[in-house]
Amino acid sequence: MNTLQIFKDTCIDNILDKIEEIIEEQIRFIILRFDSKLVDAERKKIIETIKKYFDIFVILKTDVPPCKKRIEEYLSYGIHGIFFNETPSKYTEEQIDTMTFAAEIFPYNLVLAGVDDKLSIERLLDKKIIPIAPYGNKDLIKFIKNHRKFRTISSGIIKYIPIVEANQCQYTTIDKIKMKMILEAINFRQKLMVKNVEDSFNSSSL
Amino acid sequence: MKSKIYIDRRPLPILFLIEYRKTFLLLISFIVFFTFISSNNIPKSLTVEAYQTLVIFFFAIFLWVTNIIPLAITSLMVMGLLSSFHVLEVNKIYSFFGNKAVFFIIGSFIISAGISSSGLSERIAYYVLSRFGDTPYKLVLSIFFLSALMAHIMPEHAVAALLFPILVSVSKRLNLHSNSVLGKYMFFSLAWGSVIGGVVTFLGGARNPLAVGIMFEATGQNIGFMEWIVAIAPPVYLIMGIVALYIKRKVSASTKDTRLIENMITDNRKRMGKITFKEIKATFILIVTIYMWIFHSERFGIANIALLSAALFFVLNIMGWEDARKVIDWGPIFMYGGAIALGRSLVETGLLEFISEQYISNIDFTILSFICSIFVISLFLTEGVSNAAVIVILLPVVLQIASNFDYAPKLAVYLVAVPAGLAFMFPMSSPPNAIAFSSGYIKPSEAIKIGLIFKVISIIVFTVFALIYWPLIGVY
Repeated sequence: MNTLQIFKDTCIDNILDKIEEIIEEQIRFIILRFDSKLVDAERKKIIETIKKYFDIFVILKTDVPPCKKRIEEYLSYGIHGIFFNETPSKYTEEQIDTMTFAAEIFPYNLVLAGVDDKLSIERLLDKKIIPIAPYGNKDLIKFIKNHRKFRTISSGIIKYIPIVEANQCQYTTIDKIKMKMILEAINFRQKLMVKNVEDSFNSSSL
Repeated sequence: MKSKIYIDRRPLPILFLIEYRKTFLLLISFIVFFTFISSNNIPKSLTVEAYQTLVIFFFAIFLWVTNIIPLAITSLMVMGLLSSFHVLEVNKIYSFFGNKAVFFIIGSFIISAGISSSGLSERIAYYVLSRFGDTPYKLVLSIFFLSALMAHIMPEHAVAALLFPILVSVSKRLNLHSNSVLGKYMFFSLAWGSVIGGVVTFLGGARNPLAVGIMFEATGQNIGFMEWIVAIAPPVYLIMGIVALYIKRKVSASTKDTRLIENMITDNRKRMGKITFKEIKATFILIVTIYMWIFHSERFGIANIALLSAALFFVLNIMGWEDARKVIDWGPIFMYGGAIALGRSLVETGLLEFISEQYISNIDFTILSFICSIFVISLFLTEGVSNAAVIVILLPVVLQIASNFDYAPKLAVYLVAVPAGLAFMFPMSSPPNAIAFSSGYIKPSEAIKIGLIFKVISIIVFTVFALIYWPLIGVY
């Protein structure tokens, strides 16, 4: 998995160099994990810079936060998707509730969550969350791939973000154009949905 | 500070429409505009040029009212449209930027910048607050009168912007909560003082010289600097007195010990040091300029005096070009050029005469109904529309009505320009209100309620003065 751990002192040039290497390997998504010392503004700036230079799906890897407000803040970073990576992958009702909220506000089929058993897979797919099995667990991967709900939820996008399996594919020009369109649509959706409280007061002239 | 965001979960098509509403409105307005302007269905008694002016006028009103694009850009576009459709001669349209009102405004912006950058206005503010702010009601009244008097010589928004940070420090020092009565009336005083004080002279709001400029273009008549003050100051000072009494009554109950701020103000005053030579020079220029405006404006012209005074700030090294460049607001200047051109087109193409013959001549306007109706329309229109836009929209028509009923054009100017400045109710109505609202102490509902009362008081006071006082001084 193309997870990039970003620390407080990670230089933006290093991040961009790493992404460039990833793109050269025909991969079109990147999973970012931020160190807790990075504040929201810094995270947002890093994501803006990545999006400025690359047409690539940016996915945030994080634990399930204790409150839903945090999910809204994650969306405001400008990320395209979110990957909840709890270990062990036994989710409580509250966590499922929070992830369901994420699935409601994030683009369709871009909320992912780690799993290590079939029951969790069923629960997540019911909530339109894409389950991610550990690499090497062929049994679970096969179960996910053959699941009817998975095929419905992930249709279209999984070609660009093949995170269920590590294998990559070659992208044609048409694929690249389609991907660009999907990315721009997601960015536009975010622009419409993410609002600043102050801006709202200003626009209502209060 | 952490930015507060939220996710708008309404359906995306709705969010799309909200986000791009201005674009849609603009697109629709352009389509409607081009449909009407290219129509051959023109009333017989109307010339093609008059019809085109009418369409452009309504298009401009729509854009000024909705504020889809900046007011100044609408004005420039109006000039382009008038020129493209050959409503008036091209050179003539652009020559309206040569109106003396425009140059008076440029000069007054530079004078205001000079006073600010010399430090004089800040020193006056600290002096007044430290000298008179030892009890809550004295503090609030000193803010009110200070802003009102400063708005006599500086644009009202500049006064509010100058005093706002000082008042924020005062409210922090007094540890005022967001529902504090003292906090609320401190910022109300700032807004009301700036707004009311700004209508007394040509310097408080550029809309006043704009109104005089439009009248000059339409009728050839003029209003002098002192003439304006003599007509407007008495009713405005009476309104100021009533507002001051209201503020005093409201704040008298406050038990806050405002002596706490004395040290802070004194410290800030000390930090400013002794009076500088720059401040002395700025005071000298200001006194000479006001003297010239009052006693020699007939001979030299107020615009010329303003420009010479502005130049003196540079000659005497009080400010540099960079200081001036930062504060000259080109928006109103562009707006006024276009507005004057549009006003002139309404007259020259015969459109106003047509409207007057068709729709207005049948109305029986007594002097009382004329005064009340025009004053009320302008007074309430200004709450939703930029106060300069109110003048541009109303004044040409009101001048024509006044001419039909043989009322003096000066009366029309006073009845439109003065209430256009008296915006008490909403934050978007005028910049001082917006600045005061940003403090967080003022609730919109209270501002609307009290603002409405002040508006009614203004109507009564001005109607009485217009009927009794203005004839005595020869306004009509």
